[in-house]
Amino acid sequence: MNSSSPLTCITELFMITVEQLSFCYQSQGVRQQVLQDVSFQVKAGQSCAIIGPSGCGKSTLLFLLAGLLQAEQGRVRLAEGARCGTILQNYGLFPWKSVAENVALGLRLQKVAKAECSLRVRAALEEMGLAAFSRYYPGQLSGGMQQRVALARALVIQPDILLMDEPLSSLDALTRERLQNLILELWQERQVMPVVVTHSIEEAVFLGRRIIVLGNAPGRIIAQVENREAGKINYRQSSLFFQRCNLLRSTLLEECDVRQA
Amino acid sequence: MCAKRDLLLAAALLLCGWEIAALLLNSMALPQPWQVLTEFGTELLSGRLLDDILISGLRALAGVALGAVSAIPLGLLIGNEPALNRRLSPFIYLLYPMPHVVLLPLVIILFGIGNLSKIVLIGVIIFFQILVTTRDASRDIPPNYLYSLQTLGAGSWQLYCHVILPATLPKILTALRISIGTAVAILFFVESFATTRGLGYLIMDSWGRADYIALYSAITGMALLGFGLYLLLDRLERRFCPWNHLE
Ligand SMILES: Nc1ncnc2c1ncn2[C@@H]1O[C@H](COP(=O)(O)OP(=O)(O)OP(=O)(O)O)[C@@H](O)[C@H]1O
Ligand SMILES: [Mg+2]
Repeated sequence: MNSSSPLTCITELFMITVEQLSFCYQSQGVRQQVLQDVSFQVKAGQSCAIIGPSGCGKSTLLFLLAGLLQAEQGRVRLAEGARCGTILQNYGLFPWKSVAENVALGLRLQKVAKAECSLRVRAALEEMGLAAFSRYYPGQLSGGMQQRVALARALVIQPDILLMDEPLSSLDALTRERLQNLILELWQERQVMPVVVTHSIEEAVFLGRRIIVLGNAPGRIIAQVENREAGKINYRQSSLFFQRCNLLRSTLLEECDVRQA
Repeated sequence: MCAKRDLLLAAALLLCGWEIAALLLNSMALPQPWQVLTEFGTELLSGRLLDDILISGLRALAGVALGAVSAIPLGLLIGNEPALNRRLSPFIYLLYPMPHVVLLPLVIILFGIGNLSKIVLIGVIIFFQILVTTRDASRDIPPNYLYSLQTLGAGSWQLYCHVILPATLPKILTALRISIGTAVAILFFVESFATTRGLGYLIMDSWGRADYIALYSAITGMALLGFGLYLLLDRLERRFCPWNHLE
């Protein structure tokens, strides 16, 4: 596209643009359509939550956003020069590397000088409250600490977008809430756009300025929620929060019922 | 590894069992442990036995190293490059189950009857064991490890360095440790001819002379050699895979 066209100026407002995206897995000669005609946009400064029933293609969508898979139809566009930090579902950290080595990896691969690398790693670990654990291995940390290491590893490369695939699903309620607040802070104070795949309705409403609701088999968008109040103080305690949760819940339940019928 | 105290206790119990068996059997063919250990000690001090242990040890180590160094990179490549896997796995399928020790005549024709052919035969046998383990282990790497590194901008060489090798290393080292038994068995086989040095030769020679004390002393040497190599690989595993030994 011609970069001087007025259309580009408009799209530049969007951090993420997904246009008519479809995706098939090809395994053992069988084609399985996983995503169908998915289109959405997220403006710079917003956040995004992706929710849907298990197996609907949330992780696949995130892989496409991260550039780990290539779409055959449609496309994914990120704002020019936008950098992505990514936290995948399970197995994010390398058990054979210490906490500091895990966090340093992205910088090492970018050939950042050793001295600067260790400074930035230390800063990232301090920010996540993990300074004392830099020499530990991930296997020696609790689930919540491991997720914070994963966050530090994604943040140390100073991303504009933070893609996360069910980052908090295996944590206890208290740790989860603490990390949700942390993600909110990154969004509000460091201008890192969180894109959170989740199966928790409360999490989606708490973190997602825009909520993308995927339906099942093949995954397509069944609803997009404008969740303007996300990120405001005390939103979680407000009645609006519960209304939104209930609305989302009934949308998802309806989708499941239709599927079973 | 087990605690030192338990290990010593087990060794003492084994010696007791040996002593009792020797007393019960009361035969030249099974001397008592103290006779054997005295012989072992004097021979060791005289230097001759030590030389044989060293020669055997070097042959075994060189063979294992040869097999491992050639098998590990190839196994990692086959496990991760589907095209290579398609081409080579049929050969592995055909060649792996055969008893490679029967290749001895071929190995001797190609490499002579000296040390080289002994090392090569051990190497060939270790090669196949490690190749198959390495290939299978690198196929089993959870794909998210690879994807995680890709999101950090890694190329394929970096995938090998940071994920594929470390993820498979514990299994490779375990397979190597297990294959030590085989290596020492093959060592005995290749040292039983065309050489006058090494523990295998000592065993065959003293057996031929019906010198049972010397025979058992050489067998003790062989057992200690196997144990030493096993211990060495155990150490290597602890040194290179510390994440596998967390409290
Ligand atoms: N590598 C793959 N090869 C073939 N099929 C796959 C692959 N990965 C996922 N699938 C299939 O694609 C569909 C969507 O998978 P995906 O992991 O994207 O779902 P999800 O919404 O993230 O599920 P969950 O909530 O359980 O994580 C599933 O039916 C799955 O079986
Ligand atoms: Mg998933």
